[in-house]
Amino acid sequence: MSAQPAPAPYTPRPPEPWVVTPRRGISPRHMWGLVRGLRWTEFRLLVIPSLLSIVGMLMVVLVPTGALQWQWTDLWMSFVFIGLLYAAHVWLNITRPRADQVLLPLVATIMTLGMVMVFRLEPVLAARSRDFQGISTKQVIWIALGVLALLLTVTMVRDLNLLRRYKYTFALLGIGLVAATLVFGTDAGSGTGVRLWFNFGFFQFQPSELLKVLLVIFLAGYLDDKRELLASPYRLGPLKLPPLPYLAPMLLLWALALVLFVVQKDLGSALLFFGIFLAMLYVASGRPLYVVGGLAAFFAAAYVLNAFFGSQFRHIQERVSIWLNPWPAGQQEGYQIVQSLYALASGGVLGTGIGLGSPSYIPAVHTDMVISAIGEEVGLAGTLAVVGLFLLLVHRGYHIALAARSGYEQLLAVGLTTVLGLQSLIIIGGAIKLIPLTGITLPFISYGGSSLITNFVIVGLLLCISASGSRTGTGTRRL
Amino acid sequence: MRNFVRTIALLAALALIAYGITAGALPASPRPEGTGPPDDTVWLISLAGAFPLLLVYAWLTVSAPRTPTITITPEARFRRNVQQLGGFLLVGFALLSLHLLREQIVAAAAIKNVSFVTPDGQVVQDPRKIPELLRQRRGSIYAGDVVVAASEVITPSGYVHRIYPAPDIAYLAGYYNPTIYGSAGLEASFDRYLSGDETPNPMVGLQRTLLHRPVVGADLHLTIDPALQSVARQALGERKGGIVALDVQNGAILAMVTWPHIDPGQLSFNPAAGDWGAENKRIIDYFTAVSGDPNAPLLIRPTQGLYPPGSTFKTVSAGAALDTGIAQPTTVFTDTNGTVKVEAGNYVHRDCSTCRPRGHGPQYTLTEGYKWSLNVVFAQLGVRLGPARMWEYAQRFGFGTRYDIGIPVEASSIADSPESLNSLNLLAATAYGQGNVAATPLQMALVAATVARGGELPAPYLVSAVTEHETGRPIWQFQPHVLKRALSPAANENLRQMMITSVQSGWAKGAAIPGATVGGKTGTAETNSGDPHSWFIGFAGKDPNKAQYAIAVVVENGGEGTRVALPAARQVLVAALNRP
Repeated sequence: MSAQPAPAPYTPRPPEPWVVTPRRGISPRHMWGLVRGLRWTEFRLLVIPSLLSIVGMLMVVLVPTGALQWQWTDLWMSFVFIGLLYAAHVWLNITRPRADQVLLPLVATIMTLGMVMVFRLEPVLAARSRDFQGISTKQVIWIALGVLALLLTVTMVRDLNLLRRYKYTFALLGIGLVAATLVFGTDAGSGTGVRLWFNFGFFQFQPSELLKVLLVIFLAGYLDDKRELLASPYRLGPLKLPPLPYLAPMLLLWALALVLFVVQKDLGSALLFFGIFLAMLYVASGRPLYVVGGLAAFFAAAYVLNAFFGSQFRHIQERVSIWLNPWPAGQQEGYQIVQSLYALASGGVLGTGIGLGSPSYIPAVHTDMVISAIGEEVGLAGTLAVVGLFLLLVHRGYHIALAARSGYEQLLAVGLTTVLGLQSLIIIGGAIKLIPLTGITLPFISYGGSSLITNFVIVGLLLCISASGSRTGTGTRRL
Repeated sequence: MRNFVRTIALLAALALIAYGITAGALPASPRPEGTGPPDDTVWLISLAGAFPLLLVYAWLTVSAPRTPTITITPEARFRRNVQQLGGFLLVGFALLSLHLLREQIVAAAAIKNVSFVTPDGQVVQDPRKIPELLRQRRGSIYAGDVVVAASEVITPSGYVHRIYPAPDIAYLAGYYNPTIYGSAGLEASFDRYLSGDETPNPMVGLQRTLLHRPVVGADLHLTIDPALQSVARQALGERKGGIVALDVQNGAILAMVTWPHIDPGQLSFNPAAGDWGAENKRIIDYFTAVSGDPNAPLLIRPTQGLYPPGSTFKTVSAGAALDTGIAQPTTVFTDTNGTVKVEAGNYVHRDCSTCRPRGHGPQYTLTEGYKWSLNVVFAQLGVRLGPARMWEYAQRFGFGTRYDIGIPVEASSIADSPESLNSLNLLAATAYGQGNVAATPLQMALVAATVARGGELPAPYLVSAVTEHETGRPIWQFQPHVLKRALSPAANENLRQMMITSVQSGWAKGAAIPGATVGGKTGTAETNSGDPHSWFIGFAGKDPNKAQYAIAVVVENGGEGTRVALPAARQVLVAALNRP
């Protein structure tokens, strides 16, 4: 054994001239990189809803006086709103710098319209019933809680697969909550007898809103697990059938939810769930046969229910006949839709102007029928803007889905986006008499806490998915 | 092939939409039972047809052509599925937008107009309508400098109270009551100007819409002379009847008085009232009272009151006889004892008890028959004229015409039909203004005006101009014109001289005014009940050959024309001649 030569003392090689050694501390260059990496697109886009809220609030304040007299305190809601938006922006910079930058400004713009309308409607509604006093203040509180829910979602949900693991728990929890409204529910003073809410005194909670998120989480997890099975048909002799045995748990849970809504007479939610289910099933399997079969089953079920239990479903028949011709019952069952049509017609192209119309004739104008109020006071320009904004939201959501990392996240993003898109389609279509009217909220615009908070959670989840998405990198992509 | 199908689907969908979007969207014309809703059936069917076509278009646009050699990666398949789902939602939102386009623009006017009563008695109507009408800043109505109707804006609500500050003229404006009774009179017939719907320049309308400027309606200017109107009002006093005074040269109505009349201010809804229900109740009570009043205060007697004109109608008969050449002013008629029979039977036509001058022989010229108002002379004249000419000349003088002056006007008539005049007794009675002759004071004033201006019937008018409220620029002006020629100038001149003679030496001599040439005819029209209606028609002018003013006065059940209507008419004519 020869003694090993003593290692030569380490002498650092002189650095190659082209290598930049990071210095200790932050160089100006590094600083510049950090600053460039911030969510500047979002920062700039948020200017739109901020200005829109100030202009909208000013209009509501100024129109009744007819003079240029106002105080800064009149606009406190706008300032709180803008503060919330930029607080969320800052927090996203810290926690999820790579999350999608268009989603929050888009949602904020839609929300501004709702906030201005609720603020505008409060005095006329409050003059009719004291229950409506302070609804715009409450709406700002809901928005604040919603933003909080969004921030909690993006902070807490570090791993979306955790959600997947507890999918059955979530689904059962949601269905259980909705079922509980059958026993403990109230109609939230709507006078309809449709008991969809829990009364917590200061707050009416509508569990069906929450259920839609929970069920999408469940469906996304389940369908991703069974993706292979769905694509490969189940042979029964010469017939190619869907792999029914494997789909049973999902069909069971979904049918349970659907039956619950039908029993509760919450037709809007039933329609929404049916649509989401078909959409996710189609996206997961790519087989139009499922959609056709689902629609056929739907119409068959509707026919059978109508034929044998027609008396139980009088309210559905009523809805349909009102949709076909609301006018003869214009002072009774058709009152709401007739008033909505009058409001839309009086709007014209540019509307009467915010604060200058009379949308308060429409029952539930601050919740389900808010699009008609926008149609009256901002005209076709306003309603098309709402439709366009929701279309952009859907586009953005699907964009996030396409860029998502895993099949599960893709399905989750598709499902959550479809919830927002379909829900706005169903309620706007109902309010303008394109389809039968069913009582659900217009996301981000209608007054109401459960709906706002749930929709913020949806946006939070979409932001999470976009932040982890790496395929095309929506997060870092510059616009 | 693929692109071809895609294009066809899109074009077919667009064609369906273009066809359906206007279907049934025109505003329905109002009917007594109300205005129905637009018919959406065709539109919804064409949308339902366009929906699958658009889906086919979206589907073919998104999914890549299937080539058997290339297997689709799961990722590409997922992308395609999501795109197809997005295409579905896009089509859905497109249909929403199209439906909004129809409801907010294409069918908007039809929807806004829907207003009807359901079988169980409930009113379906746009609740915006009434507040909108209560906010309408309608233009004012002026008679000279006097404000007849005006809109008072109530701050801060922005509602408008319609006021009628000139009680002697206000009833000519009609009334405006959007809450219950709607509007009537000039308020109704000139509504598009008063409401401001009609602007001379479409840019002005657009500017108002865009800037939310309150629309202020245009102003009406009446031909009424407030001073003369007030004299006429005094002259009539509180006697049932009416007075019409015309400017002979252009047909302008300078005074038009009716008694009794309503106060349109009582029918005007005051939005400043604390309790709107009580305010409506007050209006309903007032309307019920006036519409149930046996004296009919809602009736504008000068234009809607149909009275037998009595002897004043002899002007028309004499004109017909002179123009056709059947008689000259000097043609002699026989009236031996004040009675005449024109056909077999018991009926006898009589002169009035005070008409025949004492110590006059049985022979009377037409002029004498006219100035002393002898029914016997005119009964014979009527028979000579015959039914056809009697009818024709009445039409020439304006009988049967519904004058368009903006307020309700009844057409005067001399008989139910020309054929009914084949009865000689009726024909004879018609010739001296009894029988079935029914004339409005306006019509008889126009007869006098026609004679006064050389035989041409002028178009009467009450509204001379419509002007913009802010600038006073005229939007509309009445162009005075002649409706028709009643008599040839020569025949008319004879008739005019007869009317002047009637005042100079006949029973109408109480109407003579120093320094003026006055022509006239009194009338004492027998009625079915009570005293006869007292009539006077006439004209006056400072220039002997050119009269300026024509007048008709009727006092219901007033008695003899000479004693009641004539002094009132003279008062008004004197005041008219003293106009600056």
